[in-house]
Amino acid sequence: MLGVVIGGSAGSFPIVTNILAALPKNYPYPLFLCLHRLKHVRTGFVEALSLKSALPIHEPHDREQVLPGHVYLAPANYHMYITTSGTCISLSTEEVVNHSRPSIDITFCSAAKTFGSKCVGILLSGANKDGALGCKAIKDAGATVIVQAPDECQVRTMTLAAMKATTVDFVFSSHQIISYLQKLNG
Amino acid sequence: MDEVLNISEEDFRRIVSAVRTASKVDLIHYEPLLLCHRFERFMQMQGYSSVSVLIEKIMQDRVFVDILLNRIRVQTTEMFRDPQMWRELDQNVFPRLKGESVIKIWVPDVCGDDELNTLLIMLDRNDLLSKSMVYATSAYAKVLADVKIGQIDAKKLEISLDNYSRLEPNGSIEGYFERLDKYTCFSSKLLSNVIFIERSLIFDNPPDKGFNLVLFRNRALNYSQYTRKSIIEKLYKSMIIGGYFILGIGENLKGLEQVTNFVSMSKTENIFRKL
Repeated sequence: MLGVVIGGSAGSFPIVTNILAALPKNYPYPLFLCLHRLKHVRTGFVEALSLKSALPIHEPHDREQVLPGHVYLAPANYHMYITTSGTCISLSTEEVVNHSRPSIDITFCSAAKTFGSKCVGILLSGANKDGALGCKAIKDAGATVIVQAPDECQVRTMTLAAMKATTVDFVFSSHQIISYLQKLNG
Repeated sequence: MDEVLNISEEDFRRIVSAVRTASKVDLIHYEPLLLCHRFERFMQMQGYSSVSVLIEKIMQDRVFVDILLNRIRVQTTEMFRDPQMWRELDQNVFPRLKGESVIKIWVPDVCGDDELNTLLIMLDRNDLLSKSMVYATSAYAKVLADVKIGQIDAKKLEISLDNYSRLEPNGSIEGYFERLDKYTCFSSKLLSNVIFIERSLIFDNPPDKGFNLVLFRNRALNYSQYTRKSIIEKLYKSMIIGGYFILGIGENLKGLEQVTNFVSMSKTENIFRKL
């Protein structure tokens, strides 16, 4: 199975909303979103993302089953893993990584291990280096890494860190990211 | 930039086997995905790039194994994590426990002081501490010893105070901490109400029976599916009918319907009641 992981922080929310709005209801792959968020704000995020999305969006419970065409948003104050079989989500309260829980590095590294070369990692705007190591893990697994063009990012720190950590496959504008995901054929 | 460490399934099994041989601790009961990540993180922090070197160290140095076991243990995060849950307890659970002559409470698998200290403060605020029997158990004597000492990390305290302010914007819990020269300690008076018992959640019997409340938030995340089921069944059996059981908000009881019979008291905060 192919899996798409998307990470972002400051400035990424509008891009994620646009991506989800552009994907069809019968999208054949699961999407995993790891977005930095306030730990005390537990409601509203899924609802806001769902407004324009045809895909069902969940904040998964631990050991929730993964289904194609579903979007899994890392819950506040938990790290989100994808089990090695790719069929389940695991949550964890381990220490913060890069000052973040959920940490993009954790979700991306887990996706690299699970999906191997059948993974697409997309890193969006953000203000710290979380996700850079995860992009490297995805690249090392032989999969595809895309970063949002730094010039387009509201905050470019995150994408620049990823580009420093590994050789990314594509530096795309948000329109190009959407087009890539629409045409994606695993 | 850190390097990506990726322990293979075979190497993971080799590490687990080495730990078992060196310490008799069997990590097979833990969630392999998380455990593997804990090993990777430990290796990164300690500067090990080779699993073989790590295994050699495990086999030769028992003190090192204890350090490893301590570091791979997942801590709870902060006091008053999920303030809404504590508000729910304050408003809907503690008032129902007030009529009990003795309130038996179990905090199993203690891995740090956060949940226990929060519970003690909440019991004290509700005038329930004097009639409560609070058991804190862990398989690790050192963990219990550290909790008993009550020393609080400054950063963690700051986060905890912030969490509390979301529960009680005008309240203060400063009185529960003793500010010393170099560190801060949690109230020894409150900790003196706790019965600390070294006991494995997997292998040993519960420390008592007839519990009114079992606080088990986010601990089940760390166990394998099979072990999680047997642990929650054990906790369920240790409770009285009508007793309260609390999981973390990222958990649920799916797959446990055959071994437990709980009704949800709060779907968002994961508070259950035994039928």
